[in-house]
Amino acid sequence: MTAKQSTSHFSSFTLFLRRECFLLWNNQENVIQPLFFFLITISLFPFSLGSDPELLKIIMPSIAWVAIVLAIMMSLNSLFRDDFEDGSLEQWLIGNRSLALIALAKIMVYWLFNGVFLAILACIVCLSTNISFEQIKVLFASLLLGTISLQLIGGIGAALTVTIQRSGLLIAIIVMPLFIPILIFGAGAVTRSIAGESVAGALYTLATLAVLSITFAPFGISFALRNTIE
Amino acid sequence: MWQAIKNFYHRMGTPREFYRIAGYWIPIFGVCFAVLFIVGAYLGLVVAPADYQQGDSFRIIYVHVPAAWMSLFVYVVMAFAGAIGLIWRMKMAFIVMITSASIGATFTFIALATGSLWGKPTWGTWWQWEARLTSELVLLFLYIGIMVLYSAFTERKTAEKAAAILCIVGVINIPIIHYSVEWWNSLHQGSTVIREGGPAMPASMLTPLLLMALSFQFFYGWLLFIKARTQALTQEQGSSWVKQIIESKQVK
Amino acid sequence: MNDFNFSEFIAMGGYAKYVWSSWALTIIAMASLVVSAIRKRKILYRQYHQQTQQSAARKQRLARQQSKS
Repeated sequence: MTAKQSTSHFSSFTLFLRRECFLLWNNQENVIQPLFFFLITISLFPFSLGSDPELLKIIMPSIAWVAIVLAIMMSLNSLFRDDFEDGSLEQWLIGNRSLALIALAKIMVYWLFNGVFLAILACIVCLSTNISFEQIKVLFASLLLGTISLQLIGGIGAALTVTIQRSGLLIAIIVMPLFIPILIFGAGAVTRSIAGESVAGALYTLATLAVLSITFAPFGISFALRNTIE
Repeated sequence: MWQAIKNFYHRMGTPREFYRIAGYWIPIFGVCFAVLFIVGAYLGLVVAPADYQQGDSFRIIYVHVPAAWMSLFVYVVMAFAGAIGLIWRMKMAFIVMITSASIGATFTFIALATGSLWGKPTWGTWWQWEARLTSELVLLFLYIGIMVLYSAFTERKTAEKAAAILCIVGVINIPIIHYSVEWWNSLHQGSTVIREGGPAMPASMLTPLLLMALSFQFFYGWLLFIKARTQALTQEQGSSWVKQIIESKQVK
Repeated sequence: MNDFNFSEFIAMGGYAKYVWSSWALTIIAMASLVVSAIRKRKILYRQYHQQTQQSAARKQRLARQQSKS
């Protein structure tokens, strides 16, 4: 019985993975817009801080982290919007599939197409300031680990506000304080690597936070969806 | 014993009983707050000796530290109330949670503003990115998030549940935020002049601090009861007991 | 407490600006909470009485109309 159940859970998980991949493939603006937003945001900083290459070399990774946090915050609005508007969210609510698992599948796909692409793009941008390869590796690792937590925690905010029209700014307000620890450890890892200090602690903490959010955030998302959609 | 607690809990859960019981406690809490506040302020501002390092500027501690404690305490109360409301669908728990939000946010604001006023003579700047002040700032953002989320919904019942969930998520995050800010601050090596109000403090300085903290607790309870009663009346408008109560009050 | 000097007390060892402003700020913030709580309650009462008066007036009007017809 339990074996059968677990296989059905697994099959519904893979089913939803495929569904989300297909949907994202058809709505490519959901993938491309955060990347453009990231590029625009990150290019604003040299305009305001000046073009001193030495300064930019030090602060570029931190700026990249801020820009990615903002890009993910902006993309959260569309996470459950389409599913809510076409009614599939309500179907999931009354269906017997685990909503937490669906949410996890959805966010994993979003992470694969938003988080990973953003991380790669951030590394390319930072390479242009000619920081060392070591630091790029740290930046990439911290971004990969951090964006999982960002999207899962942000998913709770998106789930809470899915019934509200024009929720973009609202999501940013409620989710921003929850993003602060991840930003601190993510950007801190890179800053420490630039200062020549050990980065293991920060990366392990990011990994811990990622594991914690993978474990708990899907239940938070499903609970939030169940309680806000009547 | 257990039955008595359960009975009390259920009675407090209904707005009507809450209104009655809270009405009994409000004057007691109010008097306790006023007496403790006056005694604490007198002991703190007049009797306690000046600090040998910071002089008289340390007297800000008697409003700053209690406010900072309360800001955290109120948030935890809100999360507990929110959880009770979500699990047992208790009306009063949500009312307690929502009415606490503005009180807690005000305490957080007091802690931040007085911390800044204390920072000027001790650090030389109004604001320093010091771990405890920064955590307090993030706490203020959490409070603002809950209040904004609550007011964004048109349906009150949905708003209550959404705010409760956000509150619980926030309370899980508070230790993480605190730890992360502490770790982040260790990079900058900020000079923490403000010492912890630990047992190293002489009794003449510590007593007023504890009295003030207690008076802030009573203030919170007092105001919470007043606000929660109003909220209960507002929500239960139309039921006969509310009509009776309001009609007995004269409006000028 | 025999040597209590009022002007010295106000001066706060040169920190008067900071000490008194933070205490004043605390008291003002707490007082504003209390004032807003009381005001909310008054608004509730007033609204309720207005509503009951309006509905009573409406009932009277209806009764008058019915008696006329």
